[in-house]
Amino acid sequence: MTVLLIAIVVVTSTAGDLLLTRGMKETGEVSDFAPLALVRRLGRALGNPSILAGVVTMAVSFLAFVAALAIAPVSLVVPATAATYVGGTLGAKWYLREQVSTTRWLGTLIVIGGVILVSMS
Amino acid sequence: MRTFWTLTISMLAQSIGNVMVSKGMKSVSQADGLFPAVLQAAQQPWVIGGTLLLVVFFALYATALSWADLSFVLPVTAFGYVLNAAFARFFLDEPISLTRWAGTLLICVGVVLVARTPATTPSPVLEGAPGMR
Repeated sequence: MTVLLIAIVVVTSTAGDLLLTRGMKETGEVSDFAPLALVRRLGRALGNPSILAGVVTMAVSFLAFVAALAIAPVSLVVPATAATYVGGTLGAKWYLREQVSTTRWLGTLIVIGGVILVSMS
Repeated sequence: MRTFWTLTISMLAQSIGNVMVSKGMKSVSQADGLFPAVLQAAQQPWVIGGTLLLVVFFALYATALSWADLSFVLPVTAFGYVLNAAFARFFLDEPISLTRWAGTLLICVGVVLVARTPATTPSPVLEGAPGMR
């Protein structure tokens, strides 16, 4: 059950990030930081299906995360969710076609190691 | 530079928000079950303030993703773990173990490496992506 919940957390969190990124790119760069412009930009974001799907997916991820914490120790659940960095980077490369250089991969893998250490204790 | 500032303010909002929610939740009694606890939390000033900061965090995170790569933003925002550890240490008096310090150091090294790569993939490359139309 714990493994299943962690798998759901990782998959939904990754999908949420990919959908949010896709939607934010579809609705255009945020360049005008004036209050009225930001309100209009928010309206455009809320009307974008990818962003809405992303937010719903992230909410599911959060619920699965809380459920996992209810049955398993924090020191197991939180390090395991570091897998979202691998999922997110692979998804960014294949689905969003971002250029992931060797330096970026190396940095990401070191970050994952760090996140596991930080959250284990 | 805008990526740097957007993500820095975003991570500060997240860490301070986490500390505030955490502080507020400690005064919420769970004795009467889940629903009364949620109602109590929703009226707790620290929880409300912290939640507003977490909304600011999410808005800025999404803002950065409107121009920057996810594969850039995702690892760089792991620096938030370092801020979380620092704030928990100073404001909540939580002890930091040696393992946690070691992890913090690794995250810093990784973030410096990722931050050296260009934040945005040139758009001609993105146009052929299945996720981009």
